[in-house]
Amino acid sequence: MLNLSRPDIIRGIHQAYFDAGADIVETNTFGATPLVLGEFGLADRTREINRIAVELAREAALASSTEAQPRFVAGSIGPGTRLPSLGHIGWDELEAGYVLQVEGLLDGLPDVLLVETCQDLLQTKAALSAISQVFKRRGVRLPVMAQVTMEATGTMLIGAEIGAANVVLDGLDVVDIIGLNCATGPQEMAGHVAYLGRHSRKRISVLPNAGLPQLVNGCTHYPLRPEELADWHMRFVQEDGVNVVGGCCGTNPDHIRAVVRRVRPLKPKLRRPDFTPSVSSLYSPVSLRQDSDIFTIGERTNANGSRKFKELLDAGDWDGIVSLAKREVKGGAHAIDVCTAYVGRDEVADMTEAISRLRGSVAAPIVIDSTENPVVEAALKLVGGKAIINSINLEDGEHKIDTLCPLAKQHNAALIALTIDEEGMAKSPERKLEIATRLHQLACGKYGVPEHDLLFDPLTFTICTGNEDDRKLAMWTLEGIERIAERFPRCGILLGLSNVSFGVNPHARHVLNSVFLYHARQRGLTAAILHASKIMPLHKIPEEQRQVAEDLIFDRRREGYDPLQRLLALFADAEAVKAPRKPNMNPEERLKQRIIDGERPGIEADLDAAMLNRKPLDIINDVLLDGMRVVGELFGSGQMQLPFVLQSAETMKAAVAYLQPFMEKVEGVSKGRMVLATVRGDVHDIGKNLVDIILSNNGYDVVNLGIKQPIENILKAVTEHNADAVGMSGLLVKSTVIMKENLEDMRRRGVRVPVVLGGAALTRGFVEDDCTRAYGQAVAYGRDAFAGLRFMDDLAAARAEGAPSRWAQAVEVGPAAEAAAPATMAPRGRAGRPLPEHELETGPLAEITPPTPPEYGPKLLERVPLRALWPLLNEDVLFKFQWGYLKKGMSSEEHAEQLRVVVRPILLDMIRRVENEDIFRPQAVYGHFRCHRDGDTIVLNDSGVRLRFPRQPGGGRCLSDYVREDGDVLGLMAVTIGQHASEEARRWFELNQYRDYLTLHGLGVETAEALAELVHRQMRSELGISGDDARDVKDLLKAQYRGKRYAYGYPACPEMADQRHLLELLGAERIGLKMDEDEQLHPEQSTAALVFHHPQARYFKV
Amino acid sequence: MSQFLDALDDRVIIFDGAMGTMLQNAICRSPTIGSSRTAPRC
Repeated sequence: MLNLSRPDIIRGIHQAYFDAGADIVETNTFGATPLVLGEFGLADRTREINRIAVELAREAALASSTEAQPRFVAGSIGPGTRLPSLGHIGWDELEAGYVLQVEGLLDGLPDVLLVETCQDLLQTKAALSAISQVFKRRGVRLPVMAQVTMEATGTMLIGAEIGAANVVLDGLDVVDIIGLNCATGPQEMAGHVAYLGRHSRKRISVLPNAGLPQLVNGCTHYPLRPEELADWHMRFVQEDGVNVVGGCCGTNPDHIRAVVRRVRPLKPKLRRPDFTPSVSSLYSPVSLRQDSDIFTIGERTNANGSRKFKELLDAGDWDGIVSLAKREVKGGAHAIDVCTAYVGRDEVADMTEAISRLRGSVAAPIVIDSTENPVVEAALKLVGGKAIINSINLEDGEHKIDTLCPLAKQHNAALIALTIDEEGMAKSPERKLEIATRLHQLACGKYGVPEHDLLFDPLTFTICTGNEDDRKLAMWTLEGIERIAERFPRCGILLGLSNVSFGVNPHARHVLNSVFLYHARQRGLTAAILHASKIMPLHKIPEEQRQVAEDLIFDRRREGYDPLQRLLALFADAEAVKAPRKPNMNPEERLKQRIIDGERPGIEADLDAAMLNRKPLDIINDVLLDGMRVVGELFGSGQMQLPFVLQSAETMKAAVAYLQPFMEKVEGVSKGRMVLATVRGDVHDIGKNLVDIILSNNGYDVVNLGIKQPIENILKAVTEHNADAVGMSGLLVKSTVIMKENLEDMRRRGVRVPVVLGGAALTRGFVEDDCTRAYGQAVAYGRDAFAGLRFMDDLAAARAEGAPSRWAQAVEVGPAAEAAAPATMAPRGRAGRPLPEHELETGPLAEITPPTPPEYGPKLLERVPLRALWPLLNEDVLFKFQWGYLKKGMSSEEHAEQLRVVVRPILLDMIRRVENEDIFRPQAVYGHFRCHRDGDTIVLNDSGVRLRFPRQPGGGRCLSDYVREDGDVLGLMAVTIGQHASEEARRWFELNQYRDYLTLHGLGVETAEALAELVHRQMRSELGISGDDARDVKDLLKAQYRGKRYAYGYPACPEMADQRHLLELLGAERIGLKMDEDEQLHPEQSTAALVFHHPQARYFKV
Repeated sequence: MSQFLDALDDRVIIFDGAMGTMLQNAICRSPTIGSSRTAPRC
């Protein structure tokens, strides 16, 4: 509206940017579609508002243009307020609105049209389609930029990856420049920019925000400084070949001025884009040329080929249809063929409903399968990704091609072309090639369909009829494939594979299909419509079956031998399909398998069935626990990962809960009882709780005392509960000392209860030597949760045999051990023991001029947006070490696939939950402080606080070395994700939601780390030293930047007590962060650190 | 096709895409423009 009411302001903004050196400005028309303007009663002024907006920018551009530097105007087209892929609005309404806006923009004569801040690829396609229409109607053609917005989660709001956006936009002729704008700063965009640099065949634009907005001392603040934006753009231009750079939200003319200064002399790097013909779901691209495979299209969501699909369609069971499609994808299909042609039903309505359901639920591209053009068009208007149209042919002349090829171009869809013409289906190789040539001429020549988007289907027919005419059809199809592949090497070739075996039993079909597929691939087949899970690799087919199938395909009949008859004989008695395993099992076997598989749904029926034969207690002891035993073995042998163990434990818990009401008495169920505690001064309980889960679901009672438990509480509980054992846990290095002190105390008191110790800082040697000596009795080392179970099993077995357990026997106590914690870490000094030479830091340090921060003293980040943290999550550490998805016998490819297909979706789900339920509340305090060095002490000038640090024995490094004697700057920071995160994790644990508990806890730990990373990055930026930051987040997380961050508790700064000074100076109580009497930070997911800017700062041992 | 694409062949183009932020700032500075519905809290 300001375009009309205050043109001076709009013109002034444009002028300010031109004055700063910008080549092009965007019009004030971001929301100027009738759909958005209608919300303000201005829909009828759409054309006028857009025209005037362009004219205002044009005035400023003309005033600033010179011959050497012409200035340009881009007509901005925003995303609107409704997302079509979520069903908020239909294509036709959306497109019509954009048509009106584009008409208005063109009335004002812009230089470029900019479709920007795109959050949904279907919306983007609708806007671009509108532009194409208006261009065509007016006979004009302007350059068009299409910019997508990648959220901090790494995808567009709708969930699309950058690869999907590239595939969709690459194929639309109207787009000249593909780019990114808004949502995040340049660092978060860097990976996407690099992707476009490698893959985009179009020019690239990058317009980041000035970082992610924060609330700093009560004001909204975009943290990215002009010089930083300029630095990033230099990299994008020089490393990725970016052609258009600039700024989005939070940037101002100062940013543009800095960019002009730095980027103006540069030329974009010359790129050689790596193009792979692809299609895409709404979310991810899939290559049409699979390296070691063919592109497979699932055939089960097809009313012509799947009885199951027809039944679901008839019943209106859309959820069932989605499940069917998901199973197809899980079974290996790269795309799903969707056909709703069913006599007596409305095909358009069914296709619309099916695609609306499938597009967001199934992460595979859609193949639109219909003979009716209106059905194809309706489906295309629903698909945000890049679809495949199945199909065109020449059966009724060129009519179908004349309609579908322009539609394919408009929506950027690939095409399957059947070798059928007016004379019928091509059977001979010559006819197949002849029709393919004509199809190619029309689709690619007349309509401009790219060759890589055309997939010929040379047709295959059954060879199992016994008719003489059909015997050579498979062989001819193979020859046809070979000829077409030779003639049109850039096009794809596809077959509806299973037709070849129509008429024989399913087992024979699987073999024949598999062998035929092998030979078709050898000749150039690139894709197939098939049931992927029913295809066998050649080496798994018995030799005779393979030979007979080949003889049939190549018609190798001879006297007395007909391969078709032999095939029928071979499979006469074969089972059609392998029966599922579980129906053949008895209820007990099924239950055991359910525990191993962690499969809970329906377990009640199996428990009911088992109770007909056994008592509930026997089911627990003999069946369910046997399943858990296998789980333990699989975990121990590296064949099962922790999350699946927890899934089994949840199933066990549910089964026992179901059985309990049927048990006469619960007493006697327990195999033993453990008192479990995190030791004094330690707040970490994830490890302890995992032991609790494993023991309590393996028949043991656990008295879980919680965290920070003094020995008095532990011993009291032992007496009160008549416990058989004690488990002590702790994460911190100092907890290992506490554990040893506890054992000495227990020994003095004459306590002889068996003990197991667990914790990340423990070593086997420390437990079995030092701690055993301290206790005067063997102490068990709990390397993982199952070690605790083995320990309890040992005790139970000894008790059953009436023999003393080895864990209850006194041991010879040698000379008093040196009171040392495990050798791997020594926070309070190694008592002057020399370090190995390679660990000694002795090199000279450069005298660095201290950088100057914009201000000194503490700052408060009241609430950091979670979306700013997700890009900084260390997923590697989170997945493998927090969540336990270790490689465990998988190949690297298999493990990567598991992380991509299984684990990342878990992360995205948990992120959604954390955001929706407001579980994490990230806050931070940080600041730059004047300081100087005084020997091994850093003195903070204003407060006089003295921070002491140990020096490496032998004259090595001390942290104070990184600070100048004559004055320097030291950063302090403290961050937390809040107490609510710990409370919520505990609640989930108590609700027996074991996997979710582990997931949330791990995400909390890594989110706190990400927050520290973000604050540290901001501090570097404020000091003006962020130019050395690695551009890739993965490298950034490996500390590839100038300076280092040191948290208390590590060898170089072990004095935990000094952390109090840090918290006081920062005013950490403002974010609810405090340190207790045991020098532990609360809330648990918090961290505090010292930040040094010296370029030679390193992590070192002391 | 256009002078813009010619310029793009010649050099890196520098683009202002922050109209929204600038408008917001302008509205914050001037209480006489915008309305209670559109004026952000500053």
